[in-house]
Amino acid sequence: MSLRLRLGLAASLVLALALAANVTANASGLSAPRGQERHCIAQAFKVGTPAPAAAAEPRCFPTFAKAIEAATGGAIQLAPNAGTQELRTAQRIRPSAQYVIGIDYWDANFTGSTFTWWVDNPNGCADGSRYWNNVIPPDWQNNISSASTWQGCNHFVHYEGIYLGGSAIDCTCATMGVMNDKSNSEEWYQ
Amino acid sequence: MSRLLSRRTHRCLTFAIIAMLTAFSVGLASAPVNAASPNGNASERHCIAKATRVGTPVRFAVPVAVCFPTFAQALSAATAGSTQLSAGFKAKDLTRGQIRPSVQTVISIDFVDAQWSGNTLTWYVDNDVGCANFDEYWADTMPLGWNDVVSSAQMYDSCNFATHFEHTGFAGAYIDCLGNGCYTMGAMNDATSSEHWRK
Repeated sequence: MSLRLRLGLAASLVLALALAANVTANASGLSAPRGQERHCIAQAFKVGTPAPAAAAEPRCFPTFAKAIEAATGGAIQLAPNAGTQELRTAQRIRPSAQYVIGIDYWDANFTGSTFTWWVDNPNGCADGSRYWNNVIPPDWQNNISSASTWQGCNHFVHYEGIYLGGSAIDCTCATMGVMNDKSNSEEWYQ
Repeated sequence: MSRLLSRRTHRCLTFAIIAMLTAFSVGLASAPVNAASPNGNASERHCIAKATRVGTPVRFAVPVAVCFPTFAQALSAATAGSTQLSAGFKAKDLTRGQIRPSVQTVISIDFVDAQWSGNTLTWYVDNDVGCANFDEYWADTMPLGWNDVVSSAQMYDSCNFATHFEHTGFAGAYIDCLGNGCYTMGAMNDATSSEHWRK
């Protein structure tokens, strides 16, 4: 086989693998170029209250700004292209009972599609409240690569197993080391 | 000229001896740790290392592992001779009640393989209290040859928590081995670089 033919075959193989990986990653629409990402939200459950039988049902939006608006009950309005940095300095513009306690990111370094968790307690974790998701919604299981924490929750622990089992990492995390793409349940506390 | 040759020869000999000693000590500490050891054969290595009590000023000292061909010898050394087991005794069969009181207390055993098998690293402390008085212990780094090789762990004495961290200095991901220990370590398999023990 000539060198040119061999190189051509190798390039074709690499291209095919890349396309296959892209199709798989985009099957859920979560890992996509900026502008095609999905941004989902759900309520985290306070420890001590009856846990629901099923995983939290997420609602998803095409922009981070829309997701934050929904997660905060309309209290925070970000510019359409805003990201996490803008959220850090955003002001609440009207009363609402919903507060963000944590954001999971599909990719490392707080990038990619997001999952924003909110609670109905203005104190978040600051009053000693703890929250958890005993099972992360299916699309996001084993797919989180970074996470940021909010509202007095100094600990945002991501567990490998459901119901807070197995290995874990305590965030805020720009990367997650051996826990990259391994989270299946989460817990927040002060 | 002959004096110069003699000096050179002397230097070469010194260098060779140092190189051999280094290779030998590194081999003792690291190479055997990963060796397959399904049946307690000659390739097994069972090491011991002292954990540092939290609050003492030597936190950053690298623990030194001393290794033996059998677990029984390792446990005897870790307990200052108070506990004597049969030569073929398996570490996974060790119960808290089998460890005799001593001036040194065994607090946990790390295993190279899952399901409490393979080569072992027995951690001890130099007192007879262990974690009973809420004393905590740590190893800021793992001994030479023991970084990123731990696949299961058991706890002893009153140290009910043995947290294994991904990075040195208790950073990154972790797994809390509780009660009887970790039979497997999930994402933390072969990833331990520091440890912390508490009641």
